[in-house]
Amino acid sequence: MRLPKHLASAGAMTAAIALSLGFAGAAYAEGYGEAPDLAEKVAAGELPPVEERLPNNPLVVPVAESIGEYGGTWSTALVGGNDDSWLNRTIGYDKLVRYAPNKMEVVPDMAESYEVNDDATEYTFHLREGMKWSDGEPFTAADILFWWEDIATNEDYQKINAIRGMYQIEGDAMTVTAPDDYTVKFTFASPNALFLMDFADRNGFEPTRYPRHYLEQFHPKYNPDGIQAKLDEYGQPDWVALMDFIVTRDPAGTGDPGMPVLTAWDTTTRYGEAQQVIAERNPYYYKVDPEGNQLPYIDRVVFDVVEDREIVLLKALNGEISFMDRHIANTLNQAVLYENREAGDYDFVNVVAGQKMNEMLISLNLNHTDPVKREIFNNKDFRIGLSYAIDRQELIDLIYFGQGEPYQAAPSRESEFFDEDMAKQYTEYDVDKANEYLDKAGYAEKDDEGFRLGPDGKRISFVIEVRNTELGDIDMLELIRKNWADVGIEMLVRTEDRSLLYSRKAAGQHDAVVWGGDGGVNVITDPRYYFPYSDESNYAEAWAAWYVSKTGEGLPITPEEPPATVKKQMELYDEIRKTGNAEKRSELMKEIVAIAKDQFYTIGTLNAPGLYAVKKNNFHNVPDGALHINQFPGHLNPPTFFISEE
Amino acid sequence: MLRFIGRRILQVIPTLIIISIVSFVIIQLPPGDYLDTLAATMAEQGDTIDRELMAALEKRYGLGDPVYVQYWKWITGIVTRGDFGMSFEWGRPVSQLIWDRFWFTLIISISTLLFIWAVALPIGVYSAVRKYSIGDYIATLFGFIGLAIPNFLMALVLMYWSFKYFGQSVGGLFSPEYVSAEWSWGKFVDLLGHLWIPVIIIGTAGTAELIRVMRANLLDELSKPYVETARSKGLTERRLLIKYPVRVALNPFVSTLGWILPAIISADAVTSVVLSLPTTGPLLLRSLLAQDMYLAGSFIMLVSVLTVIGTLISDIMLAWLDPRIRY
Repeated sequence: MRLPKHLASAGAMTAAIALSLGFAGAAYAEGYGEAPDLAEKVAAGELPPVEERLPNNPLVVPVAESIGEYGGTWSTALVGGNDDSWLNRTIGYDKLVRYAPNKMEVVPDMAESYEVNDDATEYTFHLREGMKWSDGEPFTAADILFWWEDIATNEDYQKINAIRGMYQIEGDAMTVTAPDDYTVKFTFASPNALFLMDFADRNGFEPTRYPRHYLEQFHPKYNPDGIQAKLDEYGQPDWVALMDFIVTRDPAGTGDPGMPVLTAWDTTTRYGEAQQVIAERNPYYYKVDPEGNQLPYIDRVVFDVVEDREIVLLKALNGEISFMDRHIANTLNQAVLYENREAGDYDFVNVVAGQKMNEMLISLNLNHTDPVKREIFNNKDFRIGLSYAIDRQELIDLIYFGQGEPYQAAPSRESEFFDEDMAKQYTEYDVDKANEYLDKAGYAEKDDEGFRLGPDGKRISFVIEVRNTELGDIDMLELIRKNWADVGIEMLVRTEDRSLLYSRKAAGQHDAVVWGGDGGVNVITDPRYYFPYSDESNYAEAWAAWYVSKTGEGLPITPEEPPATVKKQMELYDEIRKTGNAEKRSELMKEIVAIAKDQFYTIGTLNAPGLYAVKKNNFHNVPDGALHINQFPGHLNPPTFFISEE
Repeated sequence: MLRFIGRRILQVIPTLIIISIVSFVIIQLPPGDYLDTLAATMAEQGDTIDRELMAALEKRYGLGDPVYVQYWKWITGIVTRGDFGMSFEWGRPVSQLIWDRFWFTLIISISTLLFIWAVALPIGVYSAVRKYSIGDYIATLFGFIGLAIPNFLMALVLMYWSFKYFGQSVGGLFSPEYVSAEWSWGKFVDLLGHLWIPVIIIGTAGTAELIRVMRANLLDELSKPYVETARSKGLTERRLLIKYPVRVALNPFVSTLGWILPAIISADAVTSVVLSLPTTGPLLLRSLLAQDMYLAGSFIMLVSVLTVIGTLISDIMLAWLDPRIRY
């Protein structure tokens, strides 16, 4: 039985407050709780009651600390015009399936449940009956079909857009069918076992971002007469550009104001048009807390758009940032942020590096166009010798304030693929061993200045390219340069603009580059440092190109057939893509990692030191020690974050 | 006079064509293009970018075309339709982006200009008339300090102070609660509360420079015979000063009008970045860094057009003000 509307709302408020004070068991038994301002709107007849707004089976989200209270503003910031990623991570991570907090495990979200067939060709998602867009219109399979049939695979749309890689297998796009209003089936022509992992990552937002009832007005098929007026109104050249402008597909944003969404907060200002992006509570959001209170707790999220990350730092010091890690929470800022904790009324939350397994990986170009350098770099003893020669503890003490531990390019401790041996091999600082290996490599002879001679009788000397923005890397390389000079290897550091470095390495013109190491816990989805997998595999661009495309068409580098061991890794990975069984996939990946350990492609330095985020003292439900992955903090369920009044 | 103006306007056309070509080519000179920058930025932040998406973007933006084709598309759009193209980074028409920030830029530039004139002119006159007095030395000292300290550094220091001692929200033109609010008295007051920082910072260097120019010009004039003559005829010092030498000394102000117009649009990019001002300066800087060609190109085009127009205006004004100038 339902209480009269005004009583129900009062009840919900008391319940929420009582619960937040810790009266366990005071569950609100009469129905669902909602935010006071929404309850007022219900009482005024502007909104249907919460029971009607929620789906029949809302998703119950566990809370990290306690049941929250409604209200407040989550203040954070964006830097520049290309910072969509922080929008996505905070207010955009609601999709059909998602990663569970702190686990690399895919769980249902907007989908009530999902099934995958044995050979990983068919993915079936069951939607929540009664789930609604933020304007109250129902969300059904028709919306997903609209996205696939009228947008993604539309001929006009295809002319300037592409179907994302994950929705294709060997060049064939999947098919999407809807057996009924609440079931959607993705079918691939051949097994696509990694689909779900990619789909649960941030890029899989598209199927649930196209509200058919709203977007039909921007589509010539449904609005042939009115489309011109819409183009003029938005100043866009054609309907495809207009559609992308409204939905902000590229790079993924949160939609034009006015476009209904399914996410917890709906943006009311467009990123780039004002000095702030404001996202207000979606009254139709489909998630509730364990006590049945509709989420999100926080009324609105406000992103100040600033031009410089120092401004974000000052804002944080000033207590103007509720919760954030991006742009500010780095080793360099740690001391000043720590000092001002009391003045700014905030504190640190520990975060564990998940994806990043290494601060800096030195990738010698194994596919070097100069045969002499190629021979030297491909000599594993040479790389081992260089690795022994690095005093990693010195790097840690001098540059990372004693944080972090010596580490190679290896899965992180939190990963199922973690291998202590692999992570630690050749990491001790041992000049004798370094010399021994370099001698063994065949470069025992030295010139007058004490530098070793290569197979051509000339001094071994090479350049490491580093981005001019990476101050930590540049400092580390200076120390490493001295370490290596001690064992007779001449290395020069060249700092350069990021895009120059990027295009040079993509074309394989580098001797060596350094870059942070990704693939800590996401070993299967991001194996770039375990075998030449993509152009991000900085140590072997030509081999990676061969893996991507045998012809090399459209690539900046000529593909080159790799040696048998490397090919073996590639075959194993192809196998993974076809294997529906998760355990089998892990077995195969373990083989790849084992080969990578033996190959020793790149030289690691230290694993990413403990990360942190800055959080106001009245901001709650952010778990301590959360795993930092692509979705951080999205995977921690931001709708359950709340702000207490103090 | 009309012939002079007509001739000058005709000269403007080839100048602008050359400027448009040069600026477009310069923007294209650094290695890579917008997509490389985008990919690198994303990789740096641990994000991944879809290969298929990149290929599609390249097609959409026409980045695979040769430079001259891209230039032709851009320039014909401007000339025939007044269409400056789309910004890659913001996904919006360039004209809208610039227009959005135009008014704040105008407010800041004009307030700064007024501040500079209000401070520099009297001080300049004073330090010329009372040459080598204590007041002159003090004005000179502060002038040189203002000239010597880079704007962005002063911005950082002022921001740190306002954070440390006043607990004021830093950066921007408004406090957080007013940024997206409708215009109201409160918002206006809030704007004034924030406006003084950029005005002082951007203004100090300009003030210092103008003081020096004014002082030097006036000193030249003060020793001329007509001043003596006027004095001997019994004119009061004040009336004499304002009526003749100051008027002549103002010539350089008029001739610098030409630089003020473009400066109003481009603002002080670095200071604006540091202070997080919603002006066009940071937009220009970012577009250059991101190799967002059409935005950057159009900006440079616009600034050049304004420079040319400004120079034209100041030439005409000078010719009209000072009968000694021939044309």
